[in-house]
Amino acid sequence: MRKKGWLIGTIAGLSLLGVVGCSSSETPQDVNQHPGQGAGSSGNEAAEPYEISLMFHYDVEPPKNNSEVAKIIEDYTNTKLDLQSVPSSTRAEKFNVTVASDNLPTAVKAFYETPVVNAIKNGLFWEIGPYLDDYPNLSSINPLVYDNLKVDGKIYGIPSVRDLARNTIVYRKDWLDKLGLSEPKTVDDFYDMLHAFATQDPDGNGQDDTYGLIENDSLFNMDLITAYFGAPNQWGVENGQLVPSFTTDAYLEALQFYRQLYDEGLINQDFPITSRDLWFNIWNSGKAGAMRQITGNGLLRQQDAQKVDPEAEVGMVSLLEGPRGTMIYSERGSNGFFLISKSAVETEEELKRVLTFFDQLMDKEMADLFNWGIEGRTYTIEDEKARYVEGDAYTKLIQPYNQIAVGDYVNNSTPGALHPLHQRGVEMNVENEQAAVANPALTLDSPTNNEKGAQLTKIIEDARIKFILGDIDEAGWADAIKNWKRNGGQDIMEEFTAAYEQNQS
Amino acid sequence: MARRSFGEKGFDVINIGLLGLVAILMVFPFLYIIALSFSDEKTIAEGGLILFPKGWSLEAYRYIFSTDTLVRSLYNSILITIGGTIVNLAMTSLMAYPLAKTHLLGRRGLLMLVIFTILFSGGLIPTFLVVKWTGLLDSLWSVIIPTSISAFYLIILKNFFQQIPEGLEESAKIDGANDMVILLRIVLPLSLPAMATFALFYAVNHWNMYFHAIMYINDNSKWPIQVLLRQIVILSQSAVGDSSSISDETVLPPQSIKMAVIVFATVPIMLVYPFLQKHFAKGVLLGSVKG
Amino acid sequence: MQHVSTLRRWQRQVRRDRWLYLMLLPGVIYFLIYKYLPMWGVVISFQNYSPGLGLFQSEWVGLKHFERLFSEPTFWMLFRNTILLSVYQLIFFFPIPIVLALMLNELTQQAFKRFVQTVIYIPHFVSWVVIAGISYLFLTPEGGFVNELLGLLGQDKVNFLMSTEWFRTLQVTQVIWKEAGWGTIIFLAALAGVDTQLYEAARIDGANRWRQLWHITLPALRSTIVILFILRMGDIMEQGVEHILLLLNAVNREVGEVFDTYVYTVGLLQGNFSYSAAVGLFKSLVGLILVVAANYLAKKSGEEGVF
Repeated sequence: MRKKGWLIGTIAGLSLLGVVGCSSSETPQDVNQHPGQGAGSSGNEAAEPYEISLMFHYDVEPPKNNSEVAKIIEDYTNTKLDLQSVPSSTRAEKFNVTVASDNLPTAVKAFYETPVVNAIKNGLFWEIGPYLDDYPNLSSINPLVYDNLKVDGKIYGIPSVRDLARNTIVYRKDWLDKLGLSEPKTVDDFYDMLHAFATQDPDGNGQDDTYGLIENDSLFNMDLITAYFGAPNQWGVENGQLVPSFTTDAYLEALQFYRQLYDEGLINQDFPITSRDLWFNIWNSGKAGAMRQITGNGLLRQQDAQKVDPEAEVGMVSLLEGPRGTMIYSERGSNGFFLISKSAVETEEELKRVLTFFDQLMDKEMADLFNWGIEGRTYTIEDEKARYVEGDAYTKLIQPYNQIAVGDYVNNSTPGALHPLHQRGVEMNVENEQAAVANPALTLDSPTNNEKGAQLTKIIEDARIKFILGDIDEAGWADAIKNWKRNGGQDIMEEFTAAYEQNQS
Repeated sequence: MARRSFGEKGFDVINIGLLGLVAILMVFPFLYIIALSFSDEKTIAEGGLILFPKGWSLEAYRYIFSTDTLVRSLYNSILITIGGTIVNLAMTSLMAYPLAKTHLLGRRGLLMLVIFTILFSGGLIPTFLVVKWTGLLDSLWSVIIPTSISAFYLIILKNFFQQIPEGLEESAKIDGANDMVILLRIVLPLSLPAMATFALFYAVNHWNMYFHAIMYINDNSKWPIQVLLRQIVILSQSAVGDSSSISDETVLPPQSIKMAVIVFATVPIMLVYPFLQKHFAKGVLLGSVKG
Repeated sequence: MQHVSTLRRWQRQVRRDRWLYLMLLPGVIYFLIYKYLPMWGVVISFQNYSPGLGLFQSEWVGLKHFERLFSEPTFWMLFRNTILLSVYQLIFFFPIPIVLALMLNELTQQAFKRFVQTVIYIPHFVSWVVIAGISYLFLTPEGGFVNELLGLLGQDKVNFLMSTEWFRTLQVTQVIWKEAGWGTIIFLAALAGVDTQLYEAARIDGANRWRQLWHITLPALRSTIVILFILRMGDIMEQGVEHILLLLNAVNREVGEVFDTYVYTVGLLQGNFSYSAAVGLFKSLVGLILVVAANYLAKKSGEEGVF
């Protein structure tokens, strides 16, 4: 009896395995086929759909091949798409393996990181700078964004554009009103607001259980605060030398300010063990007064807070006047960029066909698809303004494909009827850009930084947290900086300075 | 049952008490996960440890079944697990049996060859290149064939085979059976507890595998469920994974969905165990074959 | 003429065992292709490997990466943390599955036994991320259960998750919680092979449960325990990267950073393939030495060993 069962089990298993075999043999082994025909001008209506494989990452829901959205893109651009998605948490490994095995798709989405820059330097990707003028959409992208992605002064990437200075403090406006305060204008106002949030029982439950500002294990708010105190954006230029921001007096003042917030219990006392997840949980539980977000997320945070406290209202403030004036850090201005591989795209003619594809992706029709979705399903048009349909239709249908969008698809698409908070965010990004300070080392190259940057950064990151917790004092902070310099930081400074001088000349 | 002394009864009581305590300690986190998966977002936001669903909600499970992505990946996981485990058991027992024969010429060298692979590996990129070279990329075989034998389990199975009394095999040999027949007819039936154990180990390994699938399979319609589960769970962690690419726009899935996906992806493999459990019963088989 | 007869004896043996060799073949081919073929990859530890250039064009740098590792100011800290965590696990974790298996084996009530067995495997399926989340709920000074309890008892709060003293205890406890139940399976399988007649004979001889446990059950487990111990030596330099990363923070890094998390930072985040490979090679060599030593000691004390 028992033996028989075993046998049946094996046979059943083997037949299942047969199914595995079949399903695997149906797919072509080589996903990177380069059809000779179809390349060239896109104006040719009769041309066969051109095969394009794209590798990019996803966050929550992976995109699907042959889906409705993919078909819309294919039809519009006359292509046959092979979407190769990668979970964002494993993106770096997948990029490395793909590059090392010469398994590159037509285009791959990448970020400005050492392995990517190295791959570009090794000549695996097309330099696209010289071709851009032929493509009206691609050449309309803000040159600053291209500049921020240059490698050895050349353009390789087609960026997904986003605003340069999007950071803000999201705070509970309903609490502020209740306590009779007005929106902070200076760092001192900001401190007063946090203090009132933490100590004056803004949620009115009679318990001392609210925080002024909430922080997480990656010291997320720090970049805004150092900017308020006037420390440079990661790197500053002093007498022609590049110096890291954390060696400046302004940075130390920001740290001291932060330590005071911690000492007085205005921030969650366990922030070094608060993951992103737990951090959002505090906000969602209605115990938090303020947190750093991007301006685009203000509305989301308001909706989150309203789940527990229906009265909750959110305000946003980015620019505060500090001891050295008003400033904010600017970012790269893009959310990754597509690189076109030389192994999959062998000729210049094919390259032009692929560039046409990306150029078409920036057309208004495509921008509408990425930003709004499908009319009648995810959005409606009223008075020439687009409006999302209630619910998660857009998130489910369109979000997985968002990473394909290039250029500034938000501004290229139909204007929308925006929620006031959303509208405010758009205006704030423009204001922020006026006060934004750039990182002079953004595209500079330093071999020591490429080799040891990450582990050296840890020294400073840990010291910052320990300083705020009071585990080390000013002398300890100075030691950490010394330690950083001795272990390679000094070399990084010199290499950056040399690269900077070379760029200037 | 023989009469038992007072001391032995005391031993039983303590033993049962301790194991009961261990069982409670180990089951409650899973209860927590299940409770969260059935709770609504407001209750979760208010925080605290929940062991029974509060603010009952099936929203999270509705989300899981709203697209076919998770269901299809569960199907892939089942295929990989069943197919992979069969390959594993066949390959491992086939190799373990000869290695259990102490008289085999070259045995020690082969064992060293095997153990060396536990200690040294070529790393991700060279392994990827070999998988590519053997033409497995983008098929489910890519996550089955390259892990057909675990050196670790091979060594332990070899050890189990060694403990089977020689006499049984000798008599079969006299009857003219070759080694293959002896393995299939005598050794494997006698080793059912061990085979059940390794089936479980291999099955769980296949079920939990996600990294190889991400590396070797570009077509996400062939991904097993762990790839999706892992991404959803890790997304909210800044400590692990590559947080630099997780943009600020990313809307993290609510806790309840995270927990529901965990339940959805874990319960099927947990169900395997009770089916294999009967094979762990002490000494039954050995007695039955002999008798 | 000694070697000729040896040769002939060998030939005879091979011919006699031809079926056995045939059975070995698939496994050997598997190991050669999927385990040994990729091993040429270790050469990148002696190069400045760049994925775009490949193995043949990458620049050779000799022992540079090993020099960097050994001259790293944190090297001895990493070494100490890694070894200490492993030793703690050997002492506090390794025996627990054995004890649990013996306890389960002594249960006479089959239904209860099945229940406990099924339940204690569950934590194995809970990912580290979830365990970290639950640990936080219990241990945070901001309203965690344990700290609330300490408060009620009039004790000071302890910041378990941000302390150098508690790091190892916490790490080992989490490992025990997650893997102890799962670890019993292999021992239960070994126990299933014990001939029940032995127990009957012992009972007739008047041996009580303790004596049966000592003279029949434990010896049946001995070879499995020895093998697991020797193999465990091989990954004494390994820690679960994800597990440690989730426990690490600015405060406890000096006791918590191990080779694996270090490689994670310098290798993955920086894309330093060659350096990661060099660190990996160093770890493997340490493992190899320990395995060979443990195997030698096992054989000396009359055990079979693994090779």
